[in-house]
Amino acid sequence: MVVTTMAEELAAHRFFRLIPAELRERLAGCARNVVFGPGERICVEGTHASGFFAVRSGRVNVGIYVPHQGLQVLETRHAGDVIGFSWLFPPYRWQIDAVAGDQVRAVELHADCLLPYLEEHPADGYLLVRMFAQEMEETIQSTRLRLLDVYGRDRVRHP
Amino acid sequence: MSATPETVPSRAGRGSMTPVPHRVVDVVHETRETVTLALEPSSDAIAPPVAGQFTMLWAWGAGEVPISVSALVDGGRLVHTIRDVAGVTKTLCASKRGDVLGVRGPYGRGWDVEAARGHDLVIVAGGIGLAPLRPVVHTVLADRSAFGRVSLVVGSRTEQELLFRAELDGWWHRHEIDVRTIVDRSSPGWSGSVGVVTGELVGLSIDPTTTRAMVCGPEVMMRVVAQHLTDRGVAASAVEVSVERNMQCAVKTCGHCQVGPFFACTDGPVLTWDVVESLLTVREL
Repeated sequence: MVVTTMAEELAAHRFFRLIPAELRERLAGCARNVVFGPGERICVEGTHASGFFAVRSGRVNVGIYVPHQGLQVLETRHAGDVIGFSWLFPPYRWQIDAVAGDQVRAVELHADCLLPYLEEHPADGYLLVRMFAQEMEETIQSTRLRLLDVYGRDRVRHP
Repeated sequence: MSATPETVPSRAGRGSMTPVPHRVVDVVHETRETVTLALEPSSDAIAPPVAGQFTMLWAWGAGEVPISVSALVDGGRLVHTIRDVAGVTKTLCASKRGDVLGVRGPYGRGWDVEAARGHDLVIVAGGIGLAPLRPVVHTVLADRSAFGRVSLVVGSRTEQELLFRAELDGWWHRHEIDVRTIVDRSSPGWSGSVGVVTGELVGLSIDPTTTRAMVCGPEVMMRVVAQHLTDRGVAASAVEVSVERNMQCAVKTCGHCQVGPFFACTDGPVLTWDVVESLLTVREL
Protein backbone atom coordinates (compact mmCIF):
# COMPACT_ATOMS: atom_id res chain seq x y z
CA MET A 1 0.00 0.00 0.00
CA VAL A 2 1.36 3.38 -1.01
CA VAL A 3 1.05 6.02 1.71
CA THR A 4 1.13 9.61 0.53
CA THR A 5 1.41 12.69 2.65
CA MET A 6 -1.12 15.49 2.42
CA ALA A 7 1.53 17.72 0.81
CA GLU A 8 2.05 15.06 -1.87
CA GLU A 9 -1.70 14.84 -2.43
CA LEU A 10 -1.87 18.59 -2.88
CA ALA A 11 1.08 18.48 -5.26
CA ALA A 12 -0.86 16.03 -7.43
CA HIS A 13 -3.88 18.35 -7.59
CA ARG A 14 -4.15 20.74 -10.55
CA PHE A 15 -4.91 23.77 -8.37
CA PHE A 16 -1.87 23.41 -6.09
CA ARG A 17 0.58 21.97 -8.56
CA LEU A 18 2.42 25.19 -9.35
CA ILE A 19 2.71 26.73 -5.88
CA PRO A 20 6.02 26.57 -3.99
CA ALA A 21 6.59 23.42 -1.95
CA GLU A 22 6.98 25.41 1.30
CA LEU A 23 3.55 26.97 0.93
CA ARG A 24 2.10 23.61 -0.02
CA GLU A 25 3.51 22.13 3.19
CA ARG A 26 1.87 24.94 5.14
CA LEU A 27 -1.47 24.41 3.39
CA ALA A 28 -1.24 20.69 4.06
CA GLY A 29 -1.22 21.49 7.77
CA CYS A 30 -4.68 23.05 7.35
CA ALA A 31 -6.10 20.21 5.26
CA ARG A 32 -7.85 16.89 5.71
CA ASN A 33 -9.24 14.26 3.37
CA VAL A 34 -13.01 14.00 3.09
CA VAL A 35 -15.33 11.62 1.23
CA PHE A 36 -18.95 12.30 0.26
CA GLY A 37 -21.44 9.71 -0.92
CA PRO A 38 -23.74 10.32 -3.91
CA GLY A 39 -26.32 12.98 -3.06
CA GLU A 40 -24.53 14.08 0.11
CA ARG A 41 -24.39 17.82 0.82
CA ILE A 42 -20.91 19.31 0.72
CA CYS A 43 -21.96 22.85 1.59
CA VAL A 44 -25.23 24.70 2.08
CA GLU A 45 -26.05 28.26 1.03
CA GLY A 46 -26.25 30.70 3.93
CA THR A 47 -24.21 28.61 6.36
CA HIS A 48 -20.75 29.49 7.61
CA ALA A 49 -18.06 29.05 4.93
CA SER A 50 -15.39 27.40 6.99
CA GLY A 51 -13.01 26.68 4.10
CA PHE A 52 -12.86 25.30 0.60
CA PHE A 53 -12.67 21.93 -1.12
CA ALA A 54 -10.21 20.66 -3.70
CA VAL A 55 -11.92 17.86 -5.62
CA ARG A 56 -9.70 14.80 -6.13
CA SER A 57 -12.25 12.53 -7.81
CA GLY A 58 -15.94 12.40 -8.61
CA ARG A 59 -18.40 15.05 -9.73
CA VAL A 60 -19.85 17.84 -7.62
CA ASN A 61 -23.07 19.57 -8.63
CA VAL A 62 -23.07 23.24 -7.68
CA GLY A 63 -26.30 25.18 -7.63
CA ILE A 64 -28.86 27.25 -5.82
CA TYR A 65 -31.88 25.95 -3.96
CA VAL A 66 -35.18 27.22 -5.36
CA PRO A 67 -38.26 26.79 -3.15
CA HIS A 68 -40.61 24.09 -4.40
CA GLN A 69 -38.16 23.17 -7.16
CA GLY A 70 -35.20 21.89 -5.20
CA LEU A 71 -31.56 22.34 -6.10
CA GLN A 72 -31.10 23.95 -9.51
CA VAL A 73 -27.74 22.65 -10.69
CA LEU A 74 -25.83 25.44 -12.43
CA GLU A 75 -22.49 23.77 -13.01
CA THR A 76 -20.63 20.55 -12.39
CA ARG A 77 -17.16 20.56 -10.89
CA HIS A 78 -14.69 17.74 -11.50
CA ALA A 79 -11.40 16.36 -10.25
CA GLY A 80 -8.83 19.15 -10.31
CA ASP A 81 -11.38 21.87 -9.51
CA VAL A 82 -11.81 23.79 -6.27
CA ILE A 83 -15.13 24.67 -4.68
CA GLY A 84 -15.65 27.68 -2.45
CA PHE A 85 -14.60 31.31 -2.59
CA SER A 86 -16.76 32.55 0.30
CA TRP A 87 -14.24 31.66 2.99
CA LEU A 88 -12.03 34.53 1.74
CA PHE A 89 -14.43 37.41 2.38
CA PRO A 90 -16.87 38.61 5.07
CA PRO A 91 -19.52 37.59 5.88
CA TYR A 92 -17.94 34.13 5.26
CA ARG A 93 -21.20 32.55 4.21
CA TRP A 94 -21.63 29.99 1.42
CA GLN A 95 -23.37 31.52 -1.60
CA ILE A 96 -24.09 28.15 -3.17
CA ASP A 97 -25.14 24.59 -2.44
CA ALA A 98 -22.81 21.80 -3.50
CA VAL A 99 -23.93 18.16 -3.68
CA ALA A 100 -21.90 15.09 -4.55
CA GLY A 101 -23.02 13.77 -7.97
CA ASP A 102 -21.34 10.45 -7.28
CA GLN A 103 -18.75 9.41 -4.72
CA VAL A 104 -16.52 12.41 -4.22
CA ARG A 105 -13.06 12.44 -2.70
CA ALA A 106 -11.75 15.85 -1.80
CA VAL A 107 -9.33 17.74 0.38
CA GLU A 108 -10.95 20.22 2.73
CA LEU A 109 -8.85 23.23 3.71
CA HIS A 110 -9.86 25.13 6.83
CA ALA A 111 -10.18 28.91 6.87
CA ASP A 112 -9.58 29.16 10.65
CA CYS A 113 -6.12 27.77 10.04
CA LEU A 114 -5.42 29.41 6.67
CA LEU A 115 -6.61 32.99 7.06
CA PRO A 116 -4.42 33.99 10.05
CA TYR A 117 -1.36 32.56 8.28
CA LEU A 118 -2.13 34.34 5.01
CA GLU A 119 -2.69 37.64 6.85
CA GLU A 120 0.74 37.30 8.42
CA HIS A 121 2.40 36.23 5.17
CA PRO A 122 0.98 38.55 2.52
CA ALA A 123 3.23 37.20 -0.25
CA ASP A 124 1.72 33.74 0.22
CA GLY A 125 -1.71 35.30 0.62
CA TYR A 126 -1.27 37.23 -2.63
CA LEU A 127 -0.26 34.07 -4.46
CA LEU A 128 -3.22 32.07 -3.18
CA VAL A 129 -5.69 34.88 -3.91
CA ARG A 130 -4.30 35.15 -7.46
CA MET A 131 -4.91 31.45 -7.92
CA PHE A 132 -8.49 31.86 -6.70
CA ALA A 133 -8.91 34.89 -8.98
CA GLN A 134 -7.91 32.71 -11.93
CA GLU A 135 -10.48 30.10 -10.92
CA MET A 136 -13.11 32.83 -10.66
CA GLU A 137 -12.20 34.13 -14.12
CA GLU A 138 -12.57 30.65 -15.58
CA THR A 139 -15.95 30.26 -13.87
CA ILE A 140 -17.11 33.65 -15.16
CA GLN A 141 -15.90 32.86 -18.70
CA SER A 142 -17.70 29.54 -18.63
CA THR A 143 -20.87 31.36 -17.54
CA ARG A 144 -20.44 33.93 -20.33
CA LEU A 145 -20.15 31.16 -22.91
CA ARG A 146 -23.35 29.59 -21.66
CA LEU A 147 -25.12 32.96 -21.72
CA LEU A 148 -24.26 33.11 -25.43
CA ASP A 149 -26.57 30.13 -25.87
CA VAL A 150 -24.37 28.86 -28.67
CA TYR A 151 -26.51 25.80 -29.26
CA GLY A 152 -29.61 27.98 -29.55
CA ARG A 153 -32.07 27.92 -32.37
CA ASP A 154 -30.80 31.11 -34.02
CA ARG A 155 -27.28 29.80 -34.49
CA VAL A 156 -27.26 27.47 -37.41
CA ARG A 157 -24.51 25.19 -38.65
CA HIS A 158 -23.89 24.97 -42.35
CA PRO A 159 -23.52 22.19 -43.17
CA MET B 1 4.35 27.68 -42.89
CA SER B 2 0.66 28.40 -43.14
CA ALA B 3 -1.31 26.12 -45.39
CA THR B 4 -3.04 27.33 -48.52
CA PRO B 5 -5.79 25.66 -50.54
CA GLU B 6 -3.09 24.32 -52.86
CA THR B 7 -1.16 22.70 -50.01
CA VAL B 8 -4.19 21.13 -48.32
CA PRO B 9 -4.78 17.78 -50.00
CA SER B 10 -8.41 17.74 -51.06
CA ARG B 11 -10.57 14.67 -50.70
CA ALA B 12 -13.43 16.55 -52.31
CA GLY B 13 -15.12 15.57 -55.49
CA ARG B 14 -17.11 17.86 -57.74
CA GLY B 15 -20.43 16.40 -58.70
CA SER B 16 -22.97 17.61 -61.19
CA MET B 17 -24.97 20.72 -60.31
CA THR B 18 -28.17 18.89 -61.16
CA PRO B 19 -29.99 17.49 -58.12
CA VAL B 20 -30.59 13.76 -58.25
CA PRO B 21 -34.10 12.72 -57.12
CA HIS B 22 -34.15 10.70 -53.89
CA ARG B 23 -37.16 9.32 -52.08
CA VAL B 24 -37.59 9.64 -48.32
CA VAL B 25 -37.77 6.08 -46.99
CA ASP B 26 -37.52 6.73 -43.24
CA VAL B 27 -38.15 9.64 -40.89
CA VAL B 28 -36.92 9.69 -37.27
CA HIS B 29 -37.82 12.59 -35.01
CA GLU B 30 -34.68 12.90 -32.87
CA THR B 31 -35.72 15.94 -30.80
CA ARG B 32 -38.48 18.54 -30.93
CA GLU B 33 -36.77 20.32 -33.82
CA THR B 34 -34.36 17.74 -35.28
CA VAL B 35 -35.22 15.03 -37.78
CA THR B 36 -33.17 12.27 -39.40
CA LEU B 37 -34.13 11.39 -42.96
CA ALA B 38 -33.08 8.26 -44.82
CA LEU B 39 -33.12 8.73 -48.59
CA GLU B 40 -32.87 6.26 -51.44
CA PRO B 41 -32.16 7.21 -55.04
CA SER B 42 -35.07 7.15 -57.44
CA SER B 43 -32.68 6.28 -60.27
CA ASP B 44 -28.87 6.60 -60.15
CA ALA B 45 -27.17 6.92 -56.76
CA ILE B 46 -24.68 9.69 -56.04
CA ALA B 47 -21.12 8.75 -55.04
CA PRO B 48 -20.95 7.33 -51.50
CA PRO B 49 -20.04 10.04 -48.98
CA VAL B 50 -17.36 9.82 -46.30
CA ALA B 51 -17.67 10.94 -42.68
CA GLY B 52 -17.73 14.72 -42.43
CA GLN B 53 -18.92 15.37 -45.98
CA PHE B 54 -22.22 17.01 -46.82
CA THR B 55 -24.73 17.07 -49.63
CA MET B 56 -26.92 19.86 -50.94
CA LEU B 57 -30.50 18.85 -50.15
CA TRP B 58 -33.16 20.40 -52.31
CA ALA B 59 -36.76 20.63 -51.22
CA TRP B 60 -38.77 21.35 -54.35
CA GLY B 61 -40.18 24.86 -54.28
CA ALA B 62 -38.38 25.79 -51.07
CA GLY B 63 -34.69 25.80 -51.93
CA GLU B 64 -31.43 24.06 -51.24
CA VAL B 65 -29.22 23.80 -48.13
CA PRO B 66 -26.03 21.95 -47.20
CA ILE B 67 -26.68 19.11 -44.75
CA SER B 68 -24.06 16.83 -43.23
CA VAL B 69 -24.20 13.10 -43.65
CA SER B 70 -25.03 11.61 -40.25
CA ALA B 71 -24.48 7.91 -41.03
CA LEU B 72 -22.74 5.93 -43.74
CA VAL B 73 -24.91 3.23 -45.26
CA ASP B 74 -24.24 0.88 -48.17
CA GLY B 75 -26.45 0.56 -51.20
CA GLY B 76 -26.86 4.20 -52.15
CA ARG B 77 -28.95 5.10 -49.10
CA LEU B 78 -28.19 8.50 -47.56
CA VAL B 79 -28.80 9.51 -43.95
CA HIS B 80 -29.03 13.18 -42.97
CA THR B 81 -29.93 14.79 -39.67
CA ILE B 82 -31.55 18.19 -40.07
CA ARG B 83 -32.42 20.85 -37.56
CA ASP B 84 -35.48 22.95 -38.23
CA VAL B 85 -34.28 26.55 -38.22
CA ALA B 86 -37.04 27.80 -40.52
CA GLY B 87 -36.92 28.25 -44.28
CA VAL B 88 -35.74 25.27 -46.30
CA THR B 89 -34.88 23.26 -43.20
CA LYS B 90 -38.47 23.57 -41.97
CA THR B 91 -39.68 22.07 -45.24
CA LEU B 92 -37.06 19.30 -45.09
CA CYS B 93 -37.96 18.47 -41.48
CA ALA B 94 -41.60 18.20 -42.48
CA SER B 95 -40.76 15.53 -45.09
CA LYS B 96 -42.78 12.34 -45.00
CA ARG B 97 -42.06 8.87 -46.31
CA GLY B 98 -42.48 8.83 -50.04
CA ASP B 99 -41.61 12.48 -50.55
CA VAL B 100 -38.96 13.20 -53.16
CA LEU B 101 -35.98 15.48 -52.48
CA GLY B 102 -33.13 16.53 -54.72
CA VAL B 103 -29.57 15.68 -53.75
CA ARG B 104 -26.23 17.04 -55.03
CA GLY B 105 -22.88 15.87 -53.81
CA PRO B 106 -21.31 14.57 -51.74
CA TYR B 107 -19.11 17.59 -51.22
CA GLY B 108 -16.23 18.70 -49.08
CA ARG B 109 -13.33 17.36 -47.17
CA GLY B 110 -14.34 15.00 -44.38
CA TRP B 111 -12.75 13.85 -41.12
CA ASP B 112 -9.35 12.21 -41.49
CA VAL B 113 -10.35 8.98 -39.80
CA GLU B 114 -7.43 7.08 -41.33
CA ALA B 115 -4.94 9.41 -39.65
CA ALA B 116 -6.60 8.68 -36.31
CA ARG B 117 -5.98 4.94 -36.53
CA GLY B 118 -3.41 3.88 -33.97
CA HIS B 119 -3.94 7.09 -32.01
CA ASP B 120 -6.02 8.22 -29.05
CA LEU B 121 -9.03 10.13 -30.31
CA VAL B 122 -11.01 12.89 -28.61
CA ILE B 123 -14.32 13.65 -30.31
CA VAL B 124 -16.12 16.78 -29.15
CA ALA B 125 -19.58 17.62 -30.44
CA GLY B 126 -21.91 20.46 -29.60
CA GLY B 127 -25.60 20.52 -30.48
CA ILE B 128 -26.28 19.46 -34.08
CA GLY B 129 -22.48 19.06 -34.42
CA LEU B 130 -22.89 15.46 -33.28
CA ALA B 131 -24.53 14.61 -36.62
CA PRO B 132 -21.41 14.89 -38.80
CA LEU B 133 -19.36 13.13 -36.11
CA ARG B 134 -21.69 10.17 -35.67
CA PRO B 135 -20.22 8.31 -38.68
CA VAL B 136 -16.80 8.65 -37.04
CA VAL B 137 -18.09 6.99 -33.88
CA HIS B 138 -19.65 4.23 -35.97
CA THR B 139 -16.32 3.69 -37.75
CA VAL B 140 -14.43 3.54 -34.46
CA LEU B 141 -16.86 1.06 -32.91
CA ALA B 142 -16.77 -1.13 -36.02
CA ASP B 143 -12.99 -1.43 -35.77
CA ARG B 144 -12.38 -0.60 -32.11
CA SER B 145 -8.96 -2.23 -31.78
CA ALA B 146 -7.56 0.01 -34.52
CA PHE B 147 -7.77 3.04 -32.24
CA GLY B 148 -6.30 3.88 -28.86
CA ARG B 149 -8.34 5.51 -26.11
CA VAL B 150 -11.43 7.14 -27.58
CA SER B 151 -13.45 9.78 -25.77
CA LEU B 152 -16.67 11.39 -26.90
CA VAL B 153 -17.77 14.61 -25.20
CA VAL B 154 -21.19 15.89 -26.19
CA GLY B 155 -22.51 19.30 -25.24
CA SER B 156 -26.12 20.33 -25.55
CA ARG B 157 -28.38 23.17 -24.52
CA THR B 158 -30.62 20.86 -22.49
CA GLU B 159 -31.09 17.15 -21.90
CA GLN B 160 -34.16 17.21 -24.16
CA GLU B 161 -32.09 18.60 -27.03
CA LEU B 162 -29.39 15.91 -26.82
CA LEU B 163 -29.12 14.30 -30.22
CA PHE B 164 -29.20 10.50 -30.74
CA ARG B 165 -29.99 10.00 -27.06
CA ALA B 166 -30.70 6.27 -27.26
CA GLU B 167 -27.57 5.68 -29.29
CA LEU B 168 -25.48 7.71 -26.82
CA ASP B 169 -26.80 5.54 -23.99
CA GLY B 170 -25.90 2.45 -26.01
CA TRP B 171 -22.37 3.67 -26.62
CA TRP B 172 -22.03 4.48 -22.92
CA HIS B 173 -23.18 1.00 -21.90
CA ARG B 174 -20.74 -0.68 -24.30
CA HIS B 175 -17.81 0.85 -22.36
CA GLU B 176 -15.71 0.76 -25.51
CA ILE B 177 -15.41 4.50 -25.65
CA ASP B 178 -15.58 7.07 -22.85
CA VAL B 179 -18.88 8.89 -23.41
CA ARG B 180 -19.52 12.13 -21.52
CA THR B 181 -22.46 14.47 -21.86
CA ILE B 182 -22.83 17.98 -20.52
CA VAL B 183 -25.72 20.42 -20.80
CA ASP B 184 -25.94 24.19 -20.49
CA ARG B 185 -29.08 24.00 -18.37
CA SER B 186 -30.10 21.08 -16.18
CA SER B 187 -33.61 19.77 -15.71
CA PRO B 188 -35.02 17.62 -12.90
CA GLY B 189 -33.64 14.10 -13.10
CA TRP B 190 -30.58 15.01 -15.16
CA SER B 191 -27.67 13.07 -13.70
CA GLY B 192 -24.97 14.24 -16.10
CA SER B 193 -22.78 17.30 -15.93
CA VAL B 194 -23.79 20.94 -16.28
CA GLY B 195 -21.53 23.53 -17.89
CA VAL B 196 -19.50 24.06 -21.05
CA VAL B 197 -17.81 21.16 -22.87
CA THR B 198 -14.34 22.19 -21.72
CA GLY B 199 -15.50 21.38 -18.17
CA GLU B 200 -15.70 17.73 -19.21
CA LEU B 201 -12.39 17.88 -21.07
CA VAL B 202 -10.61 18.93 -17.87
CA GLY B 203 -11.32 15.51 -16.39
CA LEU B 204 -10.06 13.63 -19.46
CA SER B 205 -6.64 12.06 -19.31
CA ILE B 206 -4.94 13.15 -22.52
CA ASP B 207 -1.58 12.03 -23.86
CA PRO B 208 -0.72 14.92 -26.19
CA THR B 209 1.90 12.91 -28.04
CA THR B 210 -0.63 10.50 -29.50
CA THR B 211 -3.94 12.32 -29.33
CA ARG B 212 -5.93 13.48 -32.33
CA ALA B 213 -9.18 15.39 -31.99
CA MET B 214 -12.28 16.02 -34.08
CA VAL B 215 -14.47 18.93 -33.03
CA CYS B 216 -17.80 20.03 -34.45
CA GLY B 217 -20.26 22.57 -33.10
CA PRO B 218 -20.76 26.30 -32.86
CA GLU B 219 -17.61 28.19 -33.83
CA VAL B 220 -17.15 29.68 -30.35
CA MET B 221 -17.30 26.20 -28.85
CA MET B 222 -14.80 24.82 -31.36
CA ARG B 223 -12.43 27.70 -30.59
CA VAL B 224 -12.40 27.14 -26.82
CA VAL B 225 -12.10 23.37 -27.26
CA ALA B 226 -9.21 23.68 -29.74
CA GLN B 227 -7.45 26.15 -27.44
CA HIS B 228 -7.97 23.85 -24.46
CA LEU B 229 -6.50 20.88 -26.35
CA THR B 230 -3.53 22.78 -27.75
CA ASP B 231 -2.87 24.32 -24.31
CA ARG B 232 -2.56 20.73 -23.09
CA GLY B 233 0.03 20.00 -25.74
CA VAL B 234 -2.02 18.42 -28.51
CA ALA B 235 -0.59 19.50 -31.87
CA ALA B 236 -2.78 22.04 -33.67
CA SER B 237 -2.35 19.97 -36.83
CA ALA B 238 -3.95 17.03 -34.99
CA VAL B 239 -7.09 18.98 -34.09
CA GLU B 240 -9.72 18.95 -36.83
CA VAL B 241 -12.68 21.32 -36.78
CA SER B 242 -15.67 21.59 -39.11
CA VAL B 243 -15.92 25.17 -40.31
CA GLU B 244 -19.33 26.77 -40.27
CA ARG B 245 -20.08 29.08 -43.20
CA ASN B 246 -23.01 29.91 -45.44
CA MET B 247 -22.76 27.63 -48.49
CA GLN B 248 -24.77 28.08 -51.65
CA CYS B 249 -23.10 26.43 -54.64
CA ALA B 250 -20.88 23.91 -52.80
CA VAL B 251 -18.46 23.84 -55.73
CA LYS B 252 -16.16 26.80 -54.99
CA THR B 253 -17.90 29.13 -57.38
CA CYS B 254 -20.22 31.49 -55.52
CA GLY B 255 -17.73 32.55 -52.84
CA HIS B 256 -20.25 32.65 -49.98
CA CYS B 257 -18.29 30.20 -47.85
CA GLN B 258 -14.86 31.74 -48.37
CA VAL B 259 -12.67 31.86 -45.26
CA GLY B 260 -9.54 33.78 -46.16
CA PRO B 261 -7.85 31.73 -48.90
CA PHE B 262 -10.10 28.72 -48.29
CA PHE B 263 -13.54 27.69 -49.43
CA ALA B 264 -15.37 25.79 -46.72
CA CYS B 265 -17.29 23.81 -49.34
CA THR B 266 -14.29 22.20 -51.03
CA ASP B 267 -11.19 22.88 -48.90
CA GLY B 268 -13.37 22.12 -45.84
CA PRO B 269 -15.65 21.89 -44.06
CA VAL B 270 -13.11 19.89 -42.05
CA LEU B 271 -9.83 21.75 -41.61
CA THR B 272 -7.08 21.44 -39.05
CA TRP B 273 -6.66 24.02 -36.31
CA ASP B 274 -3.18 25.07 -37.43
CA VAL B 275 -4.73 26.08 -40.76
CA VAL B 276 -7.80 27.94 -39.49
CA GLU B 277 -6.88 29.31 -36.07
CA SER B 278 -5.62 32.64 -37.36
CA LEU B 279 -8.55 32.94 -39.79
CA LEU B 280 -11.27 32.24 -37.25
CA THR B 281 -10.02 35.04 -35.04
CA VAL B 282 -10.45 37.58 -37.86
CA ARG B 283 -13.81 39.06 -36.95
CA GLU B 284 -14.84 40.07 -40.44
CA LEU B 285 -14.28 36.62 -41.95
